[in-house]
Amino acid sequence: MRRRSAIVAGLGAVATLGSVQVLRSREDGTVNEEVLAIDAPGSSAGPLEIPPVGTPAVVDLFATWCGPCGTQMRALREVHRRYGESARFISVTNERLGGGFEAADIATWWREHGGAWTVAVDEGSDVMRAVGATSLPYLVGFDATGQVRATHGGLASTADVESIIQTVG
Amino acid sequence: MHRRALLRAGGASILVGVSGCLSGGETVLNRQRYETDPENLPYPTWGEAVPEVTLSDPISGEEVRTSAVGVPAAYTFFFSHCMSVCPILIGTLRNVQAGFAGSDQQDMVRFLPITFDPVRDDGRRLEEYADEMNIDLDAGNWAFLRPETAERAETVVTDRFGVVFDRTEATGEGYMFAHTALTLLVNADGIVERAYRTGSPDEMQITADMEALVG
Repeated sequence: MRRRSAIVAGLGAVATLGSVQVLRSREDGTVNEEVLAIDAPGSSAGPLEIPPVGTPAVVDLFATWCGPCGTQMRALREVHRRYGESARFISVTNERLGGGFEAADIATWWREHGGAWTVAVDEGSDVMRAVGATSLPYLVGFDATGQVRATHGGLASTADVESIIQTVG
Repeated sequence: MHRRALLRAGGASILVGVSGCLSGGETVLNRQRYETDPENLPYPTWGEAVPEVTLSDPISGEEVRTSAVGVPAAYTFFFSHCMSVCPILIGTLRNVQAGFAGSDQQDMVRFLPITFDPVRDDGRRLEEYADEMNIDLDAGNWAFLRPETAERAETVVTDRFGVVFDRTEATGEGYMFAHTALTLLVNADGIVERAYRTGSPDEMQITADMEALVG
């Protein structure tokens, strides 16, 4: 090992306002993971496939410790209110249960942030890894065939979420 | 420049080891292979002794000497005001900690993140941060380590562990750091077994590697 390097890799130190990345090729991404939905407002406990079958979907990768994830819930609530009938909304946290942190803690966070759709736990971070998310929040838009059509890293605005809906719908 | 290209490659620079042999009892896991000579990497690699430093946990007051932890330990490098890479690194270790919670191996591993922002990351702040990140401090296997000064942070984190950080101009949310990402897994004898050079390390892989070290 050399004892010193002068290179900064430039990993983002600041949460950024990203832009929606629209993926055009059908080969851009296929995801097939199982997560566990919890009991919370708008959500019933049970296993759940990501992406869901036969419907466009917006998957919101979040964590309860993530401040911008809480901020982004306002945009998600607004778009869900308008488009919740035409696309499925699923929020997924990779926080492992245990060590004093349980599903009830996620449900509490969910209630405090006005969540009204399915919320699930992805122990092992399989979905994050499958979609290549390296920061939170991170949105993924799946079309009805289950292909990734759009992604957004960082805090998304209402317009960003709408853009994803329009891409996958 | 060769080094620049390597660091830019990030996590892709590390491949999974396949050799399958032990090295004189010093390591437990297979050799970790790299895309370049490990001697040219800025951080400690498979088979090297963990850099020996003594740091304190400002929450408990415990002094930790890296060479004498005595159980397998995972290190990462962070600052608590970070909003992108560090929460993922810390959250990953927290998830690994949760995976050991309640098991008979819980007391046989340690999690030792080192802050490079000692000016803001004092004991009170780190205790708040642990609460935000759902870290179980009561488990007794987690200690935030804090160099006493910014100068010592550079000595320890950059000069000894090869993790570079560069303070940025302050914004409305205060100053930040651009920094490289590294998570190290060190065995009970203080020998590096894995260097995960990515901003989003695989918690299941780390868990499996730690379990293998516990034996």
